[in-house]
Amino acid sequence: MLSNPVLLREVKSALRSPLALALAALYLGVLATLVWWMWPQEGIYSATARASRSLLLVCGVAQLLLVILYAPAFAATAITAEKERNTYDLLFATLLRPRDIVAGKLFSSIVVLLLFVLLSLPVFAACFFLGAVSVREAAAIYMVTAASSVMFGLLGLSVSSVARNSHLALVVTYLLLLLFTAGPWVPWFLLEQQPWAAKFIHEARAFSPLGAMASVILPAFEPSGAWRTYLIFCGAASVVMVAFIIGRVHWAGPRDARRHGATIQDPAELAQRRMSFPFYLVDPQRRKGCIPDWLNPMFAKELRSRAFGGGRWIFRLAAACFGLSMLLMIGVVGNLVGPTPNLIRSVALVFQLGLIVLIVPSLTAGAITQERERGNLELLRMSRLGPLSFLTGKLGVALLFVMFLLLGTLPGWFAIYYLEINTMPEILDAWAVIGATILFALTAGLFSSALAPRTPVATALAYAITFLAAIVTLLPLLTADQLSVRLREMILVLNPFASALQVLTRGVFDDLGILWQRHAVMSLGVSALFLIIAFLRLRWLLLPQK
Amino acid sequence: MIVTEALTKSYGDVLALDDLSLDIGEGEIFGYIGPTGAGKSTTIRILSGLLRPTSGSARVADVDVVRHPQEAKRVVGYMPDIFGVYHGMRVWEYLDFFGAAYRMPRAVRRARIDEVLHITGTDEMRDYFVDSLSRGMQQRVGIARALIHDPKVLFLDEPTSGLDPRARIEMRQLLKHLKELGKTVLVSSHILPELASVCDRIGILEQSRLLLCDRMEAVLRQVELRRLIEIEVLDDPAGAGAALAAQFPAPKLVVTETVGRMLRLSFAGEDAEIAGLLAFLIQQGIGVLWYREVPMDLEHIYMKITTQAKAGKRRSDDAE
Repeated sequence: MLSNPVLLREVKSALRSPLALALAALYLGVLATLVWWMWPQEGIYSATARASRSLLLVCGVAQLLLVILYAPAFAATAITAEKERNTYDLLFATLLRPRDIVAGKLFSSIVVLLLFVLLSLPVFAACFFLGAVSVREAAAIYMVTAASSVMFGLLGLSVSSVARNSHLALVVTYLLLLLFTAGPWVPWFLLEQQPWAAKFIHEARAFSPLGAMASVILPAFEPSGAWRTYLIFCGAASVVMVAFIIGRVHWAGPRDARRHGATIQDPAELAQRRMSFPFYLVDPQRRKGCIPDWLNPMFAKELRSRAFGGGRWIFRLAAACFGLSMLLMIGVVGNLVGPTPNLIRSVALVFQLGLIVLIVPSLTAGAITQERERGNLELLRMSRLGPLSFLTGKLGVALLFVMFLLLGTLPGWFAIYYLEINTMPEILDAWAVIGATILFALTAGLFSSALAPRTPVATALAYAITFLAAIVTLLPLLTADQLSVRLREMILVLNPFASALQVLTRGVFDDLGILWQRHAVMSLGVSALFLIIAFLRLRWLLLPQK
Repeated sequence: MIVTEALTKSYGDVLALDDLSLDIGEGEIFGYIGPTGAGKSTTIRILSGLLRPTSGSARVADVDVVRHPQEAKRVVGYMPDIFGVYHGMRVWEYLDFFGAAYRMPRAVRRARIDEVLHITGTDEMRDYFVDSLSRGMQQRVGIARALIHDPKVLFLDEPTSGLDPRARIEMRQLLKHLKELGKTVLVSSHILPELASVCDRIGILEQSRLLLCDRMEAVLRQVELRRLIEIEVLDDPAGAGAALAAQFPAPKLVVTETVGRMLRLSFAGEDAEIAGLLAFLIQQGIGVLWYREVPMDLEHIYMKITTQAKAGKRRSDDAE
């Protein structure tokens, strides 16, 4: 295995890249900062000191989240990047056997992630000085982290083996990661009040890396056997994914030839299509008109080449959102999970914001990089399309996508308003936060696309920025006793979940000042900054080069 | 129509283009020849307003492309050697987008799309997805895109690269058609025979310097290439050869090869003297089955010129 040329090349190129160095620096920087920040002033050596256990919890969760964030960056593009560079077929033309190629890809994806996990050992060693962790616990924490690295690396590789391009592979991998990480917590969120569901809740959480980590560090919260269940699950899932990847690589047929496509001329056939969803809304095969003079050409092109030209996925996603929000609301409102308005509002908000955080950055992350990679930027530079038209066109289409997704979540908001009529001002305040978050995620994608050299890097950067704002800033919740109210407020004001939950629910973050207004202003300010930087960079790219 | 004066481009210590002066007339097809890395694409990108030169000037259709690159875009159509297409877009939609990006009014655009599809012979592919086309067809669509805003000048960078022989022939025919439409075309290539049949003039670029720029016939005379003549005689080829050699002593005429009844001659003379060769043979009573001049191809010209240039450079280096 050590002489596998694919493995050697992949590991070398991954670790030589400046991105790997930056990610490693960021990874260690974040962990070291957490340790320094949370180091108890008194420096008490005690196995039971709360400060010590809090530090361990934060570091363990932070390390896990970083691994989850990094897995797609290294694994999800392993195969798609080869196909995009037209080197995939070259591999099979060599004397390498298919299983050597698969093994090389598999192990290189995992090795890089495991190296990152090992890098954190010195940081965790500091926790020993606090008496925060026993050797057994440390071993369990690292096993959970390593198993998660392997499983999520394989997940990324599995997606890469079926995805058409790296951008899609990254987005789908992030979505699946969320499903694996947060999905098992949904029963707890919804059914916590139901006594009959207690066992089911615990068993479900055992399949989440966060649940496994909690069972090691907080045995009072999570049954201590959960992390063993998680390791078994990781092993089984990894075996299944390895088999899937091998099958895909070995037996993947020739790529589907792109259909030439023809425009339907027959009136009867056109009429029939018009009766079927969604073609009465827009039907690419009956489109005849040129782009109107008043319409931004970039906006029109984006719609035709991506959104409505391949409109099935956007409609399906919106339909899925609609179905899911309907199910959630029926389940909650129908007294299946408990009639608390707070719960309903929390579910709607978390679902809404979670959707935005997961999907919206990817809508603009390839805005500029894809044009460069496909060789179209040179052609656009020859046209009279300026940077403003370029950006507004890309942003406009992304906003249209988002509107479709938000439409799918409307049932939840109707339920909120129905349950308590006088909540309209609060709903509007919450929507201000949602709107600001949408703009933040979109402009983060544009910003990343303007600066990054390639789309996968831009996508990873966009997600990193968005996750930093939406998830990492929730870490103070794990260290409630360690931080002053002022410091907690300063961090949580950056978080959209905290701001929106405070305004729409009762009893949440009541000890803090009003967050949503400051959050909205800060979020819009940062969004404006992202947009300005993206504009300036794009203007530079479109100018004659020196 | 295209005028450059002392155009130079350097990237740090690397000189990509050295003191290029060109004057290409309206309606001309100009072949820009050179090996990879000679500076062809650099020249084209400067003339298209995409790259700033280090020094010198460039005007295209009376527009200073250095000072007014935006104005240059109106009069220039550019097809790079490698360009992308958008997924999920039909050919006409692809052209429509670029027409709109050039701010062409919709009414004008509609007719123009039909026109450029017809010019490039891609009418039948109107509704095909661009990314499903073969490379040759994509090249044609690329030319259609470069023509969409009806530019006066076209810059085609390696338009035949990667094409099969039939597609190359069709591309040459398209270039001739563009000339008939009154377009001025600068086409670059490192595949020499293709340009020989379509270009009015050629420019040979080697290591960032323009070695030669003239019509084919003038280039021939300039490089003092000898003309190759093939003659098939009825009988006694050796005798015929000896007679020719006696009448036109070396180095004027050299019999290079005798194969069966065919003689191959290397001759340094004008057209009238070539006619005189045939007249001489007939006077001598030598039966001639056929008589022809073998056309000198561009490859020979190119090799001759670049070899001379390298020899000249070596001499000047040695002198220093």
